[in-house]
Amino acid sequence: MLLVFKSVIRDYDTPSGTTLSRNLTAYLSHQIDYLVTARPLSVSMGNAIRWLKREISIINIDTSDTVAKRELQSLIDTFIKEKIEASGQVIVQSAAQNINDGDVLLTFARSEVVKQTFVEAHSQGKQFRVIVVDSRPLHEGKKLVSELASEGIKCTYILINALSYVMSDVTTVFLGAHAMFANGLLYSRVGSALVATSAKSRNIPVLVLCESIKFSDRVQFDAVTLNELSSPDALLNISINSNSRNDTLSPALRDWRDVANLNILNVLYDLTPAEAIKKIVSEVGNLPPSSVPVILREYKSDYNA
Amino acid sequence: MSDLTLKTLTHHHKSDKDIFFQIDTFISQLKRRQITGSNDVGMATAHLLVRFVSAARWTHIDSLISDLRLLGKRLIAAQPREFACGNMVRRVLALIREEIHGNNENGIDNKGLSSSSPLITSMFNLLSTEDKSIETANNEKKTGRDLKPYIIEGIQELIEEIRNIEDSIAGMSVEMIHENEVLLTPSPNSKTVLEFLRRASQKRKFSVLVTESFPNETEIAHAFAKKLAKAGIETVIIPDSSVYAVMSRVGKVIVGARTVLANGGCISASGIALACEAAKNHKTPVLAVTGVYKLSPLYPFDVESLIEVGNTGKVVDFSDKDMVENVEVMNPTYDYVAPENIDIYVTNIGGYSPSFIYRLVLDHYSSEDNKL
Repeated sequence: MLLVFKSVIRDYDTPSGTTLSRNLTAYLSHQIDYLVTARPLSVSMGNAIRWLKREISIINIDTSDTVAKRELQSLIDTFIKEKIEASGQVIVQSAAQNINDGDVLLTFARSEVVKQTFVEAHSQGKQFRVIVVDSRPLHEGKKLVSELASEGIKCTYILINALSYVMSDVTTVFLGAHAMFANGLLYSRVGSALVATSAKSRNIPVLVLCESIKFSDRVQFDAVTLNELSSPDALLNISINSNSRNDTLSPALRDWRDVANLNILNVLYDLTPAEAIKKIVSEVGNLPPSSVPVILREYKSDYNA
Repeated sequence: MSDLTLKTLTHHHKSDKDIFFQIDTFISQLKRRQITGSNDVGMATAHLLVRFVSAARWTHIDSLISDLRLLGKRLIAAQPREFACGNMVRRVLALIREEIHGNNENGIDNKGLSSSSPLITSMFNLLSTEDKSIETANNEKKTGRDLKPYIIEGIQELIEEIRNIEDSIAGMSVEMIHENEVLLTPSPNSKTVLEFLRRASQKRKFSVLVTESFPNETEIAHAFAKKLAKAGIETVIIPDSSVYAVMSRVGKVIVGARTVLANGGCISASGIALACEAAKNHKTPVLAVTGVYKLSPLYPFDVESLIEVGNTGKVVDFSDKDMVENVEVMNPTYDYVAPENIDIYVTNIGGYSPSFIYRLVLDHYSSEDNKL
């Protein structure tokens, strides 16, 4: 998204009678609105947009457009490097320290930092096994498990229903995040909460790998109030492959729209309670979930300075 | 082993070859999984037992008991995780023992307590070896041949019990569900749950969330949801992963069980343990609906031995070469639900808390048959 904004800014010309710092934000808003029509903004996107707008607004009015545009573009570049790429690497380095020889690690769905953490620990010569838990209808874990296996990591692949069968072997759970809310709750791929609470009840530590750009000042109690709905038709395909090439439609649901009282609910995310999370590994350090608002505050004062 | 068993059995069934044919057919049906599910297996076992007992000719009731135990052993060996056959055999054994016991007591009453076998109630009783011979001697007096009609009648009652199980459980549904409640059921393969909900919908208006139980029972789950919707119940299908996400809105979780173990835990379809755990995290009550015939006197000392691991082809396509070669894939078909994650068992003889299940086991089985 930021790369797109960069090119938008490059192609942008300030209309006469106004200044870049005033008008560009409004100009970008249209692009953002367009993005929102495609999918609700993710927390990290929202944070990035807020940052960009702030950067635009603090540009000196006297700066010429070309200079300002060049400056903004380089700012975006550093933002991507710092907040996304570098922070990911920091997290990977620090999270890999939590992996020991003989560990059985468990992860749910697919997260890029989690994958890189496993790959990093493996390249450090650590001996461990990974259980990848997956769920319908996205089957994201399948991609992760084949990536890990091709790196030579010992993997086990299960579906979420089999979780309680394997849980007793697990030493640590690694989860990726979509967002961390200010009340310490993890907003992540639906099913993460099941994995985390199930681990918690067996006293297995749950680590969340999350860049601080994903920290949100939103507070929420349960996953029902605000969530992203996905297409109900995604559940009609009962084949194990999520690609449409070999779809098998569920015979009972062919005409589900005609059956009164029958609905399909396919949400994308759920909320993991803060108690179930042992620690959050972020680029600003290892934190307990209760420290999310602290980090948010630190960053705000950063921006205001 | 099985030949030996057959020979031993033949000893008592010289005239009737037919029954062995039926036993063998049933055993191979079990092995081939042509009969599965506790309801069907329980029913089939009960019918077999009726035929077995009616064909049996015994000079001594103990020989019938040992024959039945051998039969039970063979059935259990044929399909160790279909607990219903073992349960049915044990129920019948308990029935026979009760009859004998009743008869003996009568005998003693008739003779007064002055008979040759005094009632030993001291601790020595446990250690003495001659005690058994006294008991056998007692039994010998009653050859038990006259017991046959009682036994068969007892088994017929059992069959009747299984047949009416849905009815008697569903009768309690109205007490359990309130108006406008949201229910969640992770066991779409359970006839009992379906009947329970259908019956409740005649008096109450509520909605039901049905999980898909992917990959083993997804089609069944979809069909189940459709049946509920057709019965006028507001039904929502959710993927298994969103159980936790919706749990905060759920009033009660209703699960079915394959087998209820003596500690109050149960064996169910895979995914149910997770749903019950999520329910516990939200303090949402979990009702397990089950017939008494699913009670098993076993304790889950080794949970893994009770759980069957199924076809991994349902999880990963066998044509997916990289996955098949490099990744270990698992597909357990059952789950063990711990007793602390279940609030009530709703059975055909009433509602019980899991901690009371062991008592029901003692009521329905005779402890000497726990290991056949």
